[in-house]
Amino acid sequence: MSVYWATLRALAVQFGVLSLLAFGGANAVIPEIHRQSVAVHHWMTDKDFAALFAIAQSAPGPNFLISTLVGWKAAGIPGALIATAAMCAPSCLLTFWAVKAWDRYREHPWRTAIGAGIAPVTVGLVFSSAYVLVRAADSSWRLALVTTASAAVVYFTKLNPLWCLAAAAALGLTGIFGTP
Amino acid sequence: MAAIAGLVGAPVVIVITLGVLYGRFGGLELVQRAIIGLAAAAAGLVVATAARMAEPLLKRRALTAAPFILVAFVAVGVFRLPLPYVLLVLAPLSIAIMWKRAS
Repeated sequence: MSVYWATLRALAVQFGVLSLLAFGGANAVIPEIHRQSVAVHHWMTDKDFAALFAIAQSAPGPNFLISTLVGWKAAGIPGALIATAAMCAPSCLLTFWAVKAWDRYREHPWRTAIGAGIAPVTVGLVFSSAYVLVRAADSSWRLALVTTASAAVVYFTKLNPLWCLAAAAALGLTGIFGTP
Repeated sequence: MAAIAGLVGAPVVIVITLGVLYGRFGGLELVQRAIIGLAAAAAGLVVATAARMAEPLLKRRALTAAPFILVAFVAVGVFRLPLPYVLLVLAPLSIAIMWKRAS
C-alpha cells in the first residue's frame, strides 16, 4: 500500500513539474515523461510507452493525454486522474494569468525575445520526442518504413493524420510486422 | 473552470477507457499486431510535427535557431539528460541572444 501511495505522489510531482515546463506543449516533454516512467520509475517498458503514446494519439483530445495513460499504467484509475490533474492544473492556472500578461505586453521587446528565444529550444525538444518514440516503436525496417511514410504524408499533405494511424493499424493486423 | 473541466473531462474518460481496454485485451495477438503498426505511425506524426515547427524558424533565422534546435535535440533526445536542467541552460541563452539582436 505504501508503495502505491509513493507512486501516486511520484506521478503528482513528476507531472506537476512537467506541466510548468511544457510551454512547448506536451510533445516537447515526451522524452522526460519517457525517461521518468521507463528508466527512473520502471512503470513500463519502452514498448509499453510506444503503445500508450499511440493510443493517446488515436484518441480525440489534447496531447497531454499521454500523461493520463502513463498515470493509468503506473497506478490504475486513481493514477490516471492524478497525473492528468497534475499535468493540467498548474499550467491551466498559470496559462490563465500568463495569457493575460502575454497579451498586455504584446508590443514589449522582452516578450518578443522570450517567445523567439524559446521557440528553437522547443523545436529541438519535439525532435527529441520524435527520436525517443521512433527508437521505442521501430524495432524492424518495416516499422521504420511505416514511420517514414506517416511522417511524409502528414508533412506534405493535408490528410487527417488519423488515416495514417488507421492504415498502419490495419497493416499491422495482417501480421507483416510480427508481434513484439 | 467548468469549461476547462468539460473540455478535458470527455477526452480523459475516453482515453482511460481505451487504456482499460488495452489492459484487458492488449495481450491478444491481433491487438498487439495492430498496436505495433499504430505506434510506428504515431511516431511518424511527431517527426512531421517537429519538421513543420522547424521549417519557418530555419527559413527565417537559421543562424540563431539551428544551434539551439541541435543542442536541445542532442542533450535531451540522444543523451537523455533531464529536461529541467537543459531548459535552464538553453532557454535563457537563446532568449538573451534574441534580446541582443532586437536591441
